Amino acid sequence: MLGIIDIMFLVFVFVTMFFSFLFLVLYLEHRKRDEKIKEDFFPTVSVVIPAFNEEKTILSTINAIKNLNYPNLSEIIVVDDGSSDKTRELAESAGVKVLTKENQGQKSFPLNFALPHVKGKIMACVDADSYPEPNSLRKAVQFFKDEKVASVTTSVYVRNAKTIIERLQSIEYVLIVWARKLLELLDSIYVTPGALSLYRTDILRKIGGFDDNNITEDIEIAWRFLYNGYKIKMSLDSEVCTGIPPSFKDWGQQRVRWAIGGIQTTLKYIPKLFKSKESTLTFAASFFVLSYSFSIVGFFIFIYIIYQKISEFLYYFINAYMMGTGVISRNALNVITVPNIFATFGLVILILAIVWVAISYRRTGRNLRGIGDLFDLILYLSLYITLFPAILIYATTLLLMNKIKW
Amino acid sequence: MRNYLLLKAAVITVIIFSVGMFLGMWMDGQRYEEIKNEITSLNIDWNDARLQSLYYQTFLEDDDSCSSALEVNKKLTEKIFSFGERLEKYERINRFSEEVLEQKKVYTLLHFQLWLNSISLKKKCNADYNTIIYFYSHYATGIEEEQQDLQSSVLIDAIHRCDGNLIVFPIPLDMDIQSIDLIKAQFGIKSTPTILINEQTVLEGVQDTETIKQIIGC
Repeated sequence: MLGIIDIMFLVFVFVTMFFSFLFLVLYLEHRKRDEKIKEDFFPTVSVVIPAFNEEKTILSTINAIKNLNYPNLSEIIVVDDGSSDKTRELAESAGVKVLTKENQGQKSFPLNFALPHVKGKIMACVDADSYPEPNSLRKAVQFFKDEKVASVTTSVYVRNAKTIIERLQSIEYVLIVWARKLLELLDSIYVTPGALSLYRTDILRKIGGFDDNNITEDIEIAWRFLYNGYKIKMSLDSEVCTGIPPSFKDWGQQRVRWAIGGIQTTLKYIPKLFKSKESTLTFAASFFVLSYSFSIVGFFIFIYIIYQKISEFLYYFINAYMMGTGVISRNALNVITVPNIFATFGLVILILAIVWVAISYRRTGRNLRGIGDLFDLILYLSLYITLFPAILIYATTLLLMNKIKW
Repeated sequence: MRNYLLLKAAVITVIIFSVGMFLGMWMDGQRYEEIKNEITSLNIDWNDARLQSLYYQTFLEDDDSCSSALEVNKKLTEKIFSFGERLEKYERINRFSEEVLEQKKVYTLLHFQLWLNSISLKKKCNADYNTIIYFYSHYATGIEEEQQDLQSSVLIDAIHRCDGNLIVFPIPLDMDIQSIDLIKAQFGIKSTPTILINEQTVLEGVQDTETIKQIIGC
């Protein structure tokens, strides 16, 4: 009969299947739509680059922005966020406007510092280690023809992925790009990534700029736009390459920060959603909370099953070896050789995940090349994504202990 | 639009999930039917063997009849033992049917009868084979289940090494069968896994092949 773990597994399967099919439905809906937007709208754009000790990349970023194929670029503003290296001098030598301030921690401070100085109708925020493609801006601004659009996000890809952790992030970024495009159909883009996102300046000012109390200003601002009834769009054809954490440790720190910011944002808006009428944020918030909750529940089920299986395996293997009998448990063989409903559902979810990756790569114009990429993909689907709940739990602990730092 | 898309995804999920659940129930049902049919067939085989044995005892009390009865008993024991492995596999896999439990009881009673028949034939025919009753728990999980699995492997090894000179009868202790309670009481069986060798020696805990071989001498 079904045990408690069996029932939890079935609920987990149901929810995972729902989101998988939801994304497939969104994909089919997206295919029906013609998104060839006429490039005939060129509002003034100010590019803001917050920079803290970015001497290695700042010039390349400024050059990439100068190379943008855009007729109405008002200004490039570098906000030197209290750098101790040559960031400021290099930026000044490149002939762009440089604002200087003391470092206060999170990125919202330099962005808010720049906001009063912005002249353009659109404020494009670019990370100091990111490199927009020449046509990215002109494609992205077209979405602002709709007056309700407060922000436009872009396709962020990884630059020069070499180490294994970089290659895994590279896969993740492709999947995120495509997921964000599909979430647009539900008006549920819940983050405006820092690598390159565009904001309608007057709306940004009207809602009070970025939240200095939030560790991930890009998540919080997206939720605030949605909460206030504005739209966020995703320009798939606007591409930007960005630097990513090169080591596992840096990656972990970044993900913990994202997770803390996500939780902070959720805690800020969920009570408001209960009090307010229907908001475009409702689905995004539900999606966010559900994915967080289920990843943690799934993680504990996973850990429980793995712990149980490993201890059973070790017990059997060691004793069987010492007793000189068959070292493969018949119990384990039974599970492998006779399919049941759980194995079948597991297989269905794996197939859906592979289909999802294939569609994401195809629609974003990326290719998997050779055995190496396939190996990375297997690693991504098996190991990488199972690390997230652990990060989430760690982030929650830090938050509860009030040990938050940018 | 958004609600329409969500509803569409929900409907697809419910359909696919339900199909999966029905498929799972159907697979379990198929396995249950297979077990049921096989048990019926084994019951017929057992009755046939028992009648043969009775017939030999009534009309043909000679060496030939003894060897025939022993041979029939041995073949049936092997057949039931081999079916037991499949039954065990199915009961671990099946999730939606509780009826396997009933079939397991019938299977256990078959083993019990075969054990008694084996003892009776051994005495009557002066046979030199050994019998082991392997007591296990039907509801064991985790490490306890692995212990039992390990003991099963050791006993299967022993059967092969003793080259037909050893018959093993796996008997679950905790399936609420009164006749099993009789054996438990008679031989003082308290825990699982435990083995009873030749109706004399009781060994508690997992035993290795060498210990078993030393006692039964094969």
